[in-house]
This record gives sequence, C-alpha cells and structure tokens, in this order.
Amino acid sequence: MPLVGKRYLLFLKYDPSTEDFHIVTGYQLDGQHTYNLDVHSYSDRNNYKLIHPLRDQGENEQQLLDRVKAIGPPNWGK
Amino acid sequence: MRRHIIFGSLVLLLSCDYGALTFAQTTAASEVPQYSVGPLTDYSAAVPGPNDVLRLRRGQRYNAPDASLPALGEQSDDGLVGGDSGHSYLDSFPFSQSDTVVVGRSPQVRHICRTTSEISILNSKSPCRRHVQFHLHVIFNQAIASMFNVTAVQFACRRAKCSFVRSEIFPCLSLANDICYF
Repeated sequence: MPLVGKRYLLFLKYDPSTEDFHIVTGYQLDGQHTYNLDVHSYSDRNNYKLIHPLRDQGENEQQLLDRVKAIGPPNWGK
Repeated sequence: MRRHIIFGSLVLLLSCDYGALTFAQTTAASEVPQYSVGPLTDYSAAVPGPNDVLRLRRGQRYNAPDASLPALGEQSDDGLVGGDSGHSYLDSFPFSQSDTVVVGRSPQVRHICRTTSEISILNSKSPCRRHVQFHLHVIFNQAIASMFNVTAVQFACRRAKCSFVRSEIFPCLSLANDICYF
C-alpha cells in the first residue's frame, strides 16, 4: 500500500454513499522502476503476507505513464 | 474563668488552623498535577455513534467478504492473508472501475488534466478539471494516521504488529483557487 513520501499513480473510485474515494489499484513510481501495489496471481495471493516485496513492472516511470496515457479512455477529462 | 477563656480561644484557633489547612490541601490537590500512568486511549471515541451513518458506511467497506472467517487475533497464523483478500484486480489499468486517476506524491497528490504536460487523467464526472491539490491520506501506522487526521482506516493486527490494508482519499470540502481544502 502507499507510503508517505513516495510517488504513485492511483486509480480511484468515488463512492457517493460514503462521500469519499477508495483506491482501486495503484503503482509506485520510482524513476527507473515501477511497482504494482496489488497482488495479481493466485499464487501471489496464496503467499500473500502483510509485508511483502512489491512486484516490479519491468518498465520505468515514463514508460508506464506513457502506456496509461495511451490506454486511457478517450472521453475522459478533455 | 480566665483559664476557660484561654483554653476556648486556643481550641478555636486550632480549629480554624485545621480548617485552613484542610482548605489549603484541597486547593493544592486541585491545582497540582496528579500522578499519571500516561496517556490513555479513548477507545470509546473510536466507536462510531449510531447516528453517524457516513462513518458506519465507510467502516462497512472494510468488512471481510466472508463473514464466517474468524477475526484476526493473537492466535492467528502469521502467514495468513491479512484481511483484504478482495483487493486484487486482473485489469492492470482498471479505468472502467475508476472515477479518477491521479499521479502524485503522498501526502499530496496533484490532480492534473490531460492537457497539461504531466500525465494524469480526469474523469468528466470529476468535480475538478483544473490543477487541484489532493491530500492523499495514506496510512501505514497509527502515528501517521493521527498526523493526517485520517478517520477511517483498516488495520490487520497480529501480536501487537499492525499493518494497514486500506487507505482512503477524502474529497474536497471546498474548492477555491484550484486548491482542494479539507
């Protein structure tokens, strides 16, 4: 999960019933490395512990952001 | 007779002195800090009031999907999943499940339109299409939670070690000059 002082790309979902956002998923941006905050595979979830290393995305920050920008819905926030 | 008067005066004087002494002690007792065992946690303050619907709803979000699972406790297995078993998404970039995508450094997140040089994406439903400062309420221990005045967090605790499993971002209470205030 996110830590204070780190940089993140976050996908947020607004919940009108609670009048706040929650984090759907996110990535830690660390220059040459990016890390997914979630666990994705079944084996990962089986081995999931409260404290565990984040999964390196294998791409740097700019590559990840470029990819998100390219995939992002075209009708969003113009 | 004179002896009686002297004795009576003496008794009266002593009585007054005793009363004054008692008063002084009482006064001193109320002013002098008392011995303390340290700060006490007001656990009752953490229990939501029955009329605080918003807080109750926010708390329900953290309930385990399977109510039959035992709560984490001192006897829980160290290797077990820490309560947030539903926090997994196959979609690497879940736009369809999101309202907003932000990039930022906690505790502040900069919410930027696509028209700016830096990446970040806004949903048309978002109340802000301009540069808006969000405070990212991120929690990893009680001290940080307190520092950022986070009111709804979930901790998974085992043997006095707690880890947060969810965090929240609170919306702006007001918006002025493109700054989101909380």
